[in-house]
Amino acid sequence: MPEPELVIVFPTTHLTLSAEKSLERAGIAHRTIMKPRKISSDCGLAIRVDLTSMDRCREALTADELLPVRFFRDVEGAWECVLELEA
Amino acid sequence: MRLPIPSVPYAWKITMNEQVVYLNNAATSWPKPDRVIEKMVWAATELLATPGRGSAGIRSERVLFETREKVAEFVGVRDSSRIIFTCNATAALNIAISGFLAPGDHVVTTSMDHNSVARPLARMEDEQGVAVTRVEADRQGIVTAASILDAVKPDTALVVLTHASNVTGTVQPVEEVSSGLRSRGEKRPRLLVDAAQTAGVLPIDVIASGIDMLAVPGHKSLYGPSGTGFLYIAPDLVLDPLFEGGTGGQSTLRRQPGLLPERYESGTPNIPGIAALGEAVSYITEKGLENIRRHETELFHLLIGGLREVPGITLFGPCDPGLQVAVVSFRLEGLDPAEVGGFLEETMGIQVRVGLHCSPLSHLTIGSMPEGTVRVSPGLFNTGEDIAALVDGVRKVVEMRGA
Repeated sequence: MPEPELVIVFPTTHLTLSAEKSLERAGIAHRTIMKPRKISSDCGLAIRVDLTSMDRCREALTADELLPVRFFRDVEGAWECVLELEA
Repeated sequence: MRLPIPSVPYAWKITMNEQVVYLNNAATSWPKPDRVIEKMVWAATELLATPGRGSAGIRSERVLFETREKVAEFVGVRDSSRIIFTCNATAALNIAISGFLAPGDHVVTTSMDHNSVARPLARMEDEQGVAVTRVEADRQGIVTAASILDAVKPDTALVVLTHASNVTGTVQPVEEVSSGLRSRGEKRPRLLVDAAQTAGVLPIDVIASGIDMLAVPGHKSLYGPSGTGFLYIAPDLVLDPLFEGGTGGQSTLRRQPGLLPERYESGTPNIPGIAALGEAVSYITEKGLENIRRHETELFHLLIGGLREVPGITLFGPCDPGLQVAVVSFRLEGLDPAEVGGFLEETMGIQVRVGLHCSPLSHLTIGSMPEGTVRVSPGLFNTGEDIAALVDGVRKVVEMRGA
């Protein structure tokens, strides 16, 4: 069974692409995707990681000041915001 | 007094680019490095979509992001979202001036401004009650920091400095002015610097220099393509956006987003140009500003040394590489600069710029209105032979005049 997924959403593409680099530096496996419509009707990008990476992602993004950011978890087909970090 | 009409074969005019001696780098640099052209072609060929508008646009997004990061590092900025891409320095200056100033504000600037600063300020003077103090430079285009700081009043919102004049090359005292403004505390006037003639030649660190906004063209001394440029905006500044529209994200907001860079960038950007700008900044960085400056200073010495010996010439500006970048203006006694420039081009393939250089205030200051000057501006790819050809050409013009 695959790991549950986490989607990380930023308000701007610039923050999303900065986060790509941040996660890469931290050695966290990730994939950049189009923002799921069920999370936001906005255009733009998001980053998908395994749920087990959440703490490491939070540390990396906070250290690099890539905020604000919201973390969404897939709960039975619906995306639930499980963490929100303000700038 | 007029020069004889040269006889130039039509075919020669068409093929002139192969024989050109290009000394007009202050207008735009030429040639561009091969790798810059290759990057532009690659981006125009390979990048499929507009950033933020479709999954294929992610690659375009990354290309823009990489250029933004390179540009930010180049001018000493840590947060690259503070870099706003524009189509040139003029657009950057307009965003800064129109977006920052409010009706009734006071602005201090100098008599060496380009029209890209002078005209937006003149409009705001006429229409919005903005008060402008233009500090007079001396005949060499030099403005002292003390005279600029003396003009600052309690209601001064902005000081605009042209880092180096596009007419005389004179470098203005950015650090001294910045230091003086910073000493006035939190309510200090903000500092906008027009780096059209210096970015890529002189080192610029906006944080160390205390610059609040910096306008830079991509196509001059950075050796990027035309149609590129950028504006740096300090983290504690919020400007009214000059352009509003689609930003590829935050689409549900009724008004323009507040976060950068989207707040100041709307619509499809110049993706090939910005990709090439990133390559150009890498190229300049690898070359090293010290090496570039040394090369241009060597050419400057040859140019000034050669021109000084020409009978009937008047040189403008300090004629001192310690006080200016490699931009030199001159006039020949009794000849219209337009005629001199036209003759150099048509008979010898030497490209210079003549007239007012979109900077009539500067020409009023140095005493060259209304005809302006002949301006020579060597760049990275010029050689001592190019300068010798120019000096020889000017001598021939003088001989022609005497004939």
